This record gives sequence, structure tokens and C-alpha cells, in this order.
Amino acid sequence: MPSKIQAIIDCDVHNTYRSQVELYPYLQEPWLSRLKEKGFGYPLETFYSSVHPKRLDARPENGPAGSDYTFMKAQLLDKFPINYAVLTGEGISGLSYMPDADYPAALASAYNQWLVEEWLNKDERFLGSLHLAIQNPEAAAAEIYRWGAHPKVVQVSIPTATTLPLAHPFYRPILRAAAEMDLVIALHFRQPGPNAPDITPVGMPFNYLDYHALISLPYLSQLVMLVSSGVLEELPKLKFLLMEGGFIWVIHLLWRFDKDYKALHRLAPALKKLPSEYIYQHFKFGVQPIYEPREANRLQQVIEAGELQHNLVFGSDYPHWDADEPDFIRRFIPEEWEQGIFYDNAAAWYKFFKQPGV
Amino acid sequence: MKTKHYFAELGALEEGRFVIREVGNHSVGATLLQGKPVVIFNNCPHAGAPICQGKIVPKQVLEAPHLLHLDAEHPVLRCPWHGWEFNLENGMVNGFASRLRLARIQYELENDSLYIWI
Repeated sequence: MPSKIQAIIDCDVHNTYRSQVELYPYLQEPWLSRLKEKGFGYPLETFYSSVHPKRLDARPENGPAGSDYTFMKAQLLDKFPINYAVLTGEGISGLSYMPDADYPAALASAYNQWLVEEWLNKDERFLGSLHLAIQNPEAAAAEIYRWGAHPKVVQVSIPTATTLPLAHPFYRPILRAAAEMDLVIALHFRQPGPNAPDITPVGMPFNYLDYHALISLPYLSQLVMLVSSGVLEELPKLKFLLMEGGFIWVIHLLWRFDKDYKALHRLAPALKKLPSEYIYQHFKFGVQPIYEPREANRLQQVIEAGELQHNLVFGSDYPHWDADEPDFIRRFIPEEWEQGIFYDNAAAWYKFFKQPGV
Repeated sequence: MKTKHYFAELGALEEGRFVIREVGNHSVGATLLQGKPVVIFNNCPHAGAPICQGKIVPKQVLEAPHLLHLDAEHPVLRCPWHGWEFNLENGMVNGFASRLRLARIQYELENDSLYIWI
């Protein structure tokens, strides 16, 4: 059945390499030898899941899901009216959880060059999201300046759980570079490895069900401190995209954060307006995995309560197991919001759409 | 009105996996469950995945606290996308109450040929 949606920007498409060998041409020694001999050095899976990590029908014959452009084109890009797709990589964000600083920075650099040279030109619909080794903020910022002017590089991806809040001065070089180069900062969940911070205040989830149901927690933490720290006054061009973390919790913050601020604003002295105004202005949220209330129209009521319809964007999360096709998400939102959620809200975020003629 | 279509020889079907064929405008899958054919539309009632590309796995049963049993006598079909499981005997969702069902297709055997009604 053809899609009923007019135009789509898919903000979350997980492309990948067939194997690490594809990165070899972009790595210098001694990192090349280290990759060849020891691999990346971070675990790809942490929590036990009873379900496949990626859609079983998305695996091409010649490599992992997301590694074959022709396959992805048929199964996603051409199946739906997708005008643009932001390539967000697969697993590579785990390098932010490696204990050393230089090797992951070299891997991030190799990944970004591979992305630009081997993927962005494959299809005019592709836009790119850089990956960074955030434990090395100066190197990460350099990577943003290196690629930020490329017209199809529109975003950086950062794992949501971090050792310090992203608003901490430690990470300021990354935020400053992203603001200067007009790149969106996408917080995207990454399963934490042994070196990653706990994602709940009570320790690690037992398994993948607990983890997946609790994914929102670090998003709340990052958002609160990004607002209260005043970094959005310091760098007013900052734009965040919070993918896969849900958005109903945002309503809690819109109301609670404002209430608390009215009494405690001395603790956030750099702010010039209510926290909720910063949230509406600087943050957008992915709708996938879509909430599936028993009655579909309940979701519309919740979104209206938070006045969030202009802050929601679509990302399919293809080819992950919990990916949502656009016409499935369409069941849960009113028709008059489709143009915004599937296209306009994302187009307002990415610098690519500021170019004349786009 | 439904019409009768040839699907496959019975010998082409097997336990534990689906044979998938295009019949008219429909994708249809068939497998054997304890020797008897199960024929369904290749379409998950949740979000439309090609359900017959999912895995057929033993049902997990909690027999007593902390005592889990994998029941190979009652396999379930796990969707290749979101992981929902469906009982192959009656098409119902496994694990929680839902009105959604696998869309089963009427079939008949003539000698060793499987015909389906769509």
C-alpha cells in the first residue's frame, strides 16, 4: 500500500560498514594496527535481549543490516516518500565510552571521513551525522570544524548517558563548535558498556527490557542542566535533537521546571526566561519508538497538553528491531500535524534547508 | 469472493520455518505444525511486518517462581520487527491479552498438493 504521507525527513537511519576493514583506508598508524589486531575495544552488546537487535528482514546477504545501500534504498528510501535521510551510524557511538582518549578520537575521525566519502554521495537524499569521541573534547571540536562546512553534514551524534552532564564546562568545546558550525546535536541512546556511567540512579537495569523502558532517564538529566546552566544563553544557536528517548516526560519538565525556577531562579542566574521557553526553542524530540496507547487519539491529547507538536520529528530508526515505519506512526497522530512532524520540524532544525533552492 | 489458488506441494513445507509465496497481490506463508499445515498472510497485525520472516521459537513457560521451561511442543512465531509472539495454533498473541490475531488462510489438500482460498 503506498504511503499516505506527502514528504519525509527521516532523522535516524543507521547505516554501517560491512566490517571494520572499510575504515582501514582512513586510519593512520599506530591506530590502524591496533584496530586490525584488537578491534574497537568496546563491547557491542551489554544487556541480554530475548529479541533480535535488528529487523530480521533487513539483513542483506553480504553484511550486517544497514551496510548495503541498494538494500536500504529498496526497503526504506524508495518504499516511502523520503526526501532526506540523516545517516546516524551503527554502534560507533560506543567509542565515547572507551577509557582512552586518542584512539577513539582517531576512530571517530576515520568514521566521519568514511561517512562523507563513501555514503553521503551515494544518494542525494543522504545527510550526515558526525560521531565524536566526547572524552576528548578538543579533538571532538576539531572534528566538527573539519566537516562542519560540508553542506550535507548537518548533525553530531552523542550518546545520551555521559560521565558528566553535557552542560559541564568540560564539554564546552564540543557545544561551542557545534553552535559555530550550525550543527544539530543529536542525543541518541547507546547501550552503555563497562566504562559507561550508570543510566539509572539505582544502578544498572537487569536486562534489555528494563533498559529500554528506562531509556528516558538520562535525557531528562541532560535537558535540565543544559537549560539551567545558561549554556543556551552563552551559545544561543545550539539546537538539540533527542532521539528515541520519548517525549511525554518533557511535559513533566515543562511544568515542574518552571514551577521550581520561580522560587529558585537564583540558582540559574544566567537564564533570562522560563525554562520551558528554552525547551521549546532549543530542543526537538524524536517520535520513535511511537507511544501506542490503547486508544490512539490519547496521544494527540497528551501532545496538545504539552503544546509539543512543533517540537516533534520523525526518525525511523531503521533497521533496528524497534524501528517504526512512517505510516505506522501516522496512526497515532492527527493528519494536520503530519507535515510538521514528518518534514517541517526537522527542516527548521538542519542548516541544509537554509540553502537557497532546497 | 474467495478463489482457490495452488500454493505448494505438501513436501515443500517443513516444521520450524515458513515457505513464502506471492499469491495474487498477497504475500502468503505456510509452515507445518505437528504435521499439519498452518497458512497465514505474511503480515503482522501489529505494524505490518513480513511476519513469516520471523523465527519460530519454543514458547517460554513460567512453571513455578524462577523455574522457566521452553515448550517446543507449542512453538510461537516471533515477529521479525518488534518481537511480538503469536501462537501458531490459534493465531493469538503470546504473553499478553490482545485482540490482534494472525490472519489465517483457509486451505485444502488434494493428494499432496496444498490449495489456499483467498
